[in-house]
Amino acid sequence: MRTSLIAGLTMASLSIGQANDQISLKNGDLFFGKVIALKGGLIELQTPHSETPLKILNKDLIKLNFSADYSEKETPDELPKNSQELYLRNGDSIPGEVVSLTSTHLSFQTWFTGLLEIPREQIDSVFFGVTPQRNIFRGPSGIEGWSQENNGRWRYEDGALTSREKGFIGRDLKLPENFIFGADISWESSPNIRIHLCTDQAKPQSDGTSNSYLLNLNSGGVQVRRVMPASTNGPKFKTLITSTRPPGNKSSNACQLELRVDRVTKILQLYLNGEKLGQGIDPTDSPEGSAILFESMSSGSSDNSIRNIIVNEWDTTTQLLRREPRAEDEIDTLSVDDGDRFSGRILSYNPQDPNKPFIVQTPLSPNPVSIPLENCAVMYFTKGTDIPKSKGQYRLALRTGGKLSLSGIQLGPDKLKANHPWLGKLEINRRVMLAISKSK
Amino acid sequence: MKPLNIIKKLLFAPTLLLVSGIPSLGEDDRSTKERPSVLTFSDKSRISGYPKSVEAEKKQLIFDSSSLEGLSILNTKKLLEMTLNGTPKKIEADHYALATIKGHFRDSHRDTIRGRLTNLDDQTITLETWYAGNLTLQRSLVHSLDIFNQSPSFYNGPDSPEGWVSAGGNIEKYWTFKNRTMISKARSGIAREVTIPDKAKISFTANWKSSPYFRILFFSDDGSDDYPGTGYSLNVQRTYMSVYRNAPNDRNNDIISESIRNMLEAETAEFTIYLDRSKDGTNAIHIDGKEIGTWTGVDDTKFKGNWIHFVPQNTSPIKFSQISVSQWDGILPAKPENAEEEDTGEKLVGQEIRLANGDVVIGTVKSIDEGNVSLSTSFGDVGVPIKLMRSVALSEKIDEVRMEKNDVRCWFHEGGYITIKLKSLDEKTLKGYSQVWGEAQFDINAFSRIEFNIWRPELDTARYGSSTDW
Repeated sequence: MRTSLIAGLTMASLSIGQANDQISLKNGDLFFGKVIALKGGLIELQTPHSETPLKILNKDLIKLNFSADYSEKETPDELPKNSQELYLRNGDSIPGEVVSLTSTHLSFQTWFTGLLEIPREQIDSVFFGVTPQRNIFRGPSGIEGWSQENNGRWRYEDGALTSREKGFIGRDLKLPENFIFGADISWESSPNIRIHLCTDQAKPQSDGTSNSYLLNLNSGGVQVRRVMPASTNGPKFKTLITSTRPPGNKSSNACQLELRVDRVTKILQLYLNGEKLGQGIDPTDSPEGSAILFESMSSGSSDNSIRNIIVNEWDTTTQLLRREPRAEDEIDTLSVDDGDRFSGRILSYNPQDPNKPFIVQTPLSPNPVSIPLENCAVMYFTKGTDIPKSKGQYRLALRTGGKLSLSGIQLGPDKLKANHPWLGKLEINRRVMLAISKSK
Repeated sequence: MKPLNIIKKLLFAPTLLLVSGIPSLGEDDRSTKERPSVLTFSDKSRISGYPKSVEAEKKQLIFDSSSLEGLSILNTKKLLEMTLNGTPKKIEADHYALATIKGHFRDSHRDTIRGRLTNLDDQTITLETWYAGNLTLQRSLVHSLDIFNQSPSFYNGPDSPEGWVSAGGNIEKYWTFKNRTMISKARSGIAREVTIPDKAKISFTANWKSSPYFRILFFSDDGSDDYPGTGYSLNVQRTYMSVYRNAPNDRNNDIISESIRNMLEAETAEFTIYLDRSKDGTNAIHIDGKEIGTWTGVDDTKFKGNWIHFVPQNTSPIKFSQISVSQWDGILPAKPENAEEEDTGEKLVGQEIRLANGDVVIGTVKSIDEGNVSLSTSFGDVGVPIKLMRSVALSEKIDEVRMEKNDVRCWFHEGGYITIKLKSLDEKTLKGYSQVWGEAQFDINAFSRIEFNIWRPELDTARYGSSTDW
């Protein structure tokens, strides 16, 4: 009764084809259709259940999810990409590019809402090298498309694949040559799960052999191993990365795992909760499989769950998006990719000189230091006078990453007009919109 | 079935006194603050509010929702159902008649209409109802007519966790409810109390992923325990089914032990348990319409518990849906090999009327008046209080009710449902037609929900979920 991977993939693609804008209200009401306007406290929705658009009162809105297939011309992957992300001190984040920096303002160019002139004191940080990678998989959204031989051990609930017993579930995700795998793992009593990547097997082999990478997570830590094919002489495993840091802590039975795999250079990087645990080099020929298997090692008494599985293609230059910590609140800080940190005052940015665009005055050097753009990792701005946190009535999540607090939103066929508490009136291209929710 | 003769004690039956009459129909006690109705569409859209009117031919529903500005005109083409939350009238009557209607073409649903029997003749059966006045039913389209002293209880579900209890304590931890299906997450069982008629049919559909391994308990005396003190236990384990009976002050019995090898390749099966609680009654278990075993000679009236349990025996998820507890006419489905078998005994003229004490009268109804039936029998005219009747055998002629374009299935608060060709609906009444009783107007408070587009199989997956929907 094992569902074939191919059948599963067909089911998955069918369900994606039925995507629609979705509106959830506090009273449990749920609407599907195409949002054609949002203004004056009303959401106008085109739906097959009414000849005229339904006028939904948005006072009890929980969330409005915009369908990915809204645009008939472009898929989300074809949306413009930015390699920088700016974080405001109210928590908002905006993808774009720094185009200039003065003593008072930073100019930030976005494709979806034009040029933003942002006072420095409102900016927390700017991250570099964060180009969104092509998404290969995002889920799970159901049990369909996944296969498990010892059927029923894994179940889908509340957005997660969950198993209480020993057993595996797998899917051919068509993993590309270089990719970033990420997932949130949670457990009831203790973590005990194995993730097989780049495998071409439909199930784990009883003798432990395979031709894959094995990510092993348990209460003792995290380990990445190269699992060798059965035909190989010598040891079945080669350990590539080991960390003895417990994946959870007293207050949390969950963690976020990320494994970056470059099968060309055979380099693997492991991150736990956003922090790099280590890097390993595969001394063998990389495994060529394209599937993934989750293997629960639970003994039957507690659940292990996997949610927010994301697989992105990796251009292998995007390795700077890691939060180097801020040095001090009272000064600017510019961190570069080799871990160096320049603290002081970031004086200017000159896009005309791409080799030395950022000029930083540090107390350690009498002359300002020039930092090439390609080396910039993260730029923190002085936390000056306390600015009262300001949140809009709504929160807009962007399809290319990022989020904005907004009020007075008016949605037309192509644009969203809204007021940002700090940035003022914005006109936002509708194609970038992923979801609107009420601020808490 | 061999008819008996009239027993003397029947002739000395006490004169019927009505406990109370049928209350007047004009009262409107609907609370203005009642819970809103919920519309569910095939794309999972869900809208709460109050229905103002439905025009069936126009496929149009006017709906007042607090989520929407003003009144909205909605299209019913993809509407699956509308819940209703009016309060049904509590009826105290001298008897409760239940007419089970013959099925629609190839559809397993059986409509039931309850009311007070006021007339019975060769062509028609008339029931007085609080929700639709007098309904005169075409007798040829009525499968069976049963009489009860108490309003018969039914269950159709599961709709929600409401009314269910779990031995583990926390239902939501152990069970998921969606698409009128309950899905186990662990081994902890789930139970609910349902009054099981003397002759009852319990049916349900089970779906599993690897192999079936569960127990179904009925007549249990403790819903909070997966191993109650008394009751029946139907055990399914892969290719084996057994039934175990644990009666109070009685010897415990292994009733059935059967191999069910065809379950090995299946992922779903429909189970039907036929129960006749009387000492001479025949009981049976059917899986997918095939008889697996029968038992007789046990007095199940001694069971006082009314709990029905669904207990997974491992942690592999299992789905239970289409759970139904209903009245049964006591006649087991014919086996293929003896379907043609005919009773060669001498037949008496008239209709067979079963009485509360087990007696059977063959006669013709002359009149029904003030709760008494006047029968013409070969022994002369006899008066029988309706409340002492149990059932009336009806035509065995094969007939079925037509499927109509605008048919809706209206579920009674008390259990059971009727199929009506909807004409219109407003805040108080539903007007419609049935081949069984003609045109009628129903008090909307009688119904807990109305299913729309019931003959559109393309909507079944949205309505009932699919086998892959776990």
